[in-house]
Amino acid sequence: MSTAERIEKIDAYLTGEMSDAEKKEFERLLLDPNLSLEDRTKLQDEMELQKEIILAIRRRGLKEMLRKEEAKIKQEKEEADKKAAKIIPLYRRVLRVSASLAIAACFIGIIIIAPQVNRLSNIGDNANLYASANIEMNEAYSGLKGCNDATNAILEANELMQSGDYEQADMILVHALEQMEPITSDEQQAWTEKEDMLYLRALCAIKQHKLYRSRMLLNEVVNMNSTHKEQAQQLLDQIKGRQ
Amino acid sequence: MIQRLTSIPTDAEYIRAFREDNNALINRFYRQYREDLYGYIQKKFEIRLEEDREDIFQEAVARLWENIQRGKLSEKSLTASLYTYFKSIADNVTKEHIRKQKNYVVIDIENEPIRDVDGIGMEKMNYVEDERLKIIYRAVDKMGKPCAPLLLGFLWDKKSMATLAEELGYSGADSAKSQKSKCMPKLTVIIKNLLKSSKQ
Repeated sequence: MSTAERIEKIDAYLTGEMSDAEKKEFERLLLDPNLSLEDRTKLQDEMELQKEIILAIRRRGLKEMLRKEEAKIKQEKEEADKKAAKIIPLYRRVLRVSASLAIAACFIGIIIIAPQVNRLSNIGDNANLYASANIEMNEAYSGLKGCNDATNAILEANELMQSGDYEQADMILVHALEQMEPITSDEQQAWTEKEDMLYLRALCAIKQHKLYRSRMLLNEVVNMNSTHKEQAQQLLDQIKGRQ
Repeated sequence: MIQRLTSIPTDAEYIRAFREDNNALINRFYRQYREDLYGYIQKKFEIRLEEDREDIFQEAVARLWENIQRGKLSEKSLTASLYTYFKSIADNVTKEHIRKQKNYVVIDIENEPIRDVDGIGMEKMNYVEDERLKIIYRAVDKMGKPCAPLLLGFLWDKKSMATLAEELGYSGADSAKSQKSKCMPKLTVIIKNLLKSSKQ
C-alpha cells in the first residue's frame, strides 16, 4: 500500500467514511499479527498524526465560525447604533419644538397677559376707590367696633387692605359672610354690612388681579342696589372696557 | 419549550455542545461571555486594542473546545464553574499574547509557568502549544483552495460531498470526494516534512 493510499484509508476510517465491511477490514489490518513492530508503530504514528490534522482542521473551522460570529455581533451593534442615532435627532427635534413653544408661550404671556394684569391693577386706583371706601367704612364702623363679627371683620379687612394684604383681608371677609345669619328685609344694618363686605371683597379681587371673581362680586353689589352701586358699576365698566 | 429556549444553558450543556460541535450553542457561549471576558482582559492585562481582545477571546474558546475534544475536560471533571475555567485559559492565552508582543519568540515549554487553579481540574492542562502542534496548526491555517473549503466544509460544517460539490462548483459528489482524497495525503506529507525539518 502506498503512503497516499494509507493516508486516504486512515482519513476515511477516522472521518467515518468507510462502510462497515471496510471498517472491519481496516481494523483487522491494524491488529494483523504478521505486521512488524516497525510497521505497526509507523501506522499508529500516522493514525495519531492524522487525528491531530483532523482536529487542527476542525479547530480552524471553529475559529472561522467564531470570526463570523464576531463580525455578526459587530454588524448588529452597528445597526443598533444607527437606529439609536436616528432616534436622537428626533428626540432633539421634539426638544427644539418644545423649547420654541415655551418661548412663544412666554412671549404671549408678556404681550397679552401682562398688560391685562397691569390694566386690571390700575382699575380703581385712578378713581381712588380704595381710599374712599376705606375712609367711608372706617368712619361708619369705627364707633361700632366690637359690636358684632361683621363690623369687626370690615374694620380688620380695611386695615389689612391698607397694608396691602388683600388675600388675608378677603379671607376674613369670606369667613364673616359665611358666619352671617340669614338677613330679613328689615335688618338694614346687616344688609349694609353685607354690601360693604362684598364691595370690599370685589376691591380685593381687583387688587389680586382676579378678573372673573371681581366681576361676579361687583355684579352682586350692583344688583343689591347698595350704596356702592355707582362705584361698582364704574369699576365694571372699566373692566369691560379694558378687556 | 419557550422557557427551555430562552434559558441560559448550563455548564454541562455547554461542555456537551463543545464536544458534539453544536455550533448554535458554541456561538451562544461566545455571545454570553464576550463582553465579560473583553472587560476582564482589558482590566487585568490592560489589553486596549479591540482586535487583540478578539484574537485572545477566540483563541481561548478554541482551546476550551480543544480540551473538551481531547477529553481533558468533561462535565464530571469540572469542579468550578466553566467560566472560571475559561477565564484561566484566557489568562494563559493573554500572557502568551503579551510575550509574543514583546518579541519573546522562543517559548521555553519546560520552564513555562502554567497557572494552576486548585480544584478545577487544571492540573493536566498544558496551554502552551508544543512545537509539533504549532507546526500542524500553522500548516492547516495556511492551507488554501481547493483543499481548505473542501476539508473545512466536510470536517467542520459536516456537509455532504454532494452539497460541497454544488457549493464549490464540482461536477458531482464523486469529483469533490476525489479532490478531497488528494488533499488529505498532500497536507499530511507537507506536515510530515515540516515536522522532520523542525527536528533537524
